[in-house]
Amino acid sequence: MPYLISLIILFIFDTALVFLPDDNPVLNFFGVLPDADDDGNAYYSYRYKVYAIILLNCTATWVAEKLIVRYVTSVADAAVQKKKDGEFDRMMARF
Amino acid sequence: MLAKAQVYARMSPDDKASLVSSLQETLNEQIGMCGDGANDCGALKTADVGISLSEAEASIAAPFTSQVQDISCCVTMLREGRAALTTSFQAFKFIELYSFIQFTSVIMLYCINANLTDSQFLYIDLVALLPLAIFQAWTGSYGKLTKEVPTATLFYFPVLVSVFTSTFIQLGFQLWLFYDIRQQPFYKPPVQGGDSIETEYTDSYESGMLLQLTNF
Repeated sequence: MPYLISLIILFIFDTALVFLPDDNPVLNFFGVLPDADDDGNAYYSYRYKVYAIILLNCTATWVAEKLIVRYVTSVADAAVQKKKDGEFDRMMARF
Repeated sequence: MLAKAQVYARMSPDDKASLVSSLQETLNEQIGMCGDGANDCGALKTADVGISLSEAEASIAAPFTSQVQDISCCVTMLREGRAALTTSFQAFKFIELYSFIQFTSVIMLYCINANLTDSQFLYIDLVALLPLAIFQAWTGSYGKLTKEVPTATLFYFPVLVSVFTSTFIQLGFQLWLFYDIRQQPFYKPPVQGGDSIETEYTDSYESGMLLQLTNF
């Protein structure tokens, strides 16, 4: 549960960092430049694209951890167990 | 017999110590011992993990002492042990990933003569590292004992696969945004530093973008 709190803090702050308005002093302090050109045209919609890419990144990492790593772990664990069982069977045969 | 037997009775203190020692040699596993009297001292000392149910003699030989006089402490011991192991491995993976991600970000920014600014490093430390470090250490063990056992080796193939898979995914998305921001109509290239060796880096679109992506 406490770990979830840190994830919520991260989520709130990082979402704010993407969507705060250009003139917000927090954005200026953390060096996030305004998305407006020299003619004063603002491209706020680009932030939705950035946020979508960020969420896609999170999802891809989570899916990779759940699918690929879980599969590799099960295969590696089975190989270790098989090796252990083999050693044990050899020892039992010796006795 | 050692591998199959589950109940041993009428054992002397030496027999108990000998049994623990034989189990360690034969099964090649970490062996735990839980006992409540002076006659368990030898076995408690021999075992990899000894839990004493007594605050008297046996507690001297055992590294752990339980206030509850039954074997429910073994379940608590396993839960806490697994939690400690998992937390230390997660901390290792976190630090490794953090280093890789920051390394790739900084290398990309160096290529355009830019870098993360001091305030951006401050943001990473305050918002990402500090809460994670505090709350990760604060998180307790899982409520019940599960069948899944955490890996006991740090340089285990799945652990490395996990770290490198995440690193490559991060790298791919960093490159995507790094080049995408440069195609935008509002994009302005970073101001080049002077001739000084210690260049003072200014804010850039790329560094802001990588900060937003990698912190999430």
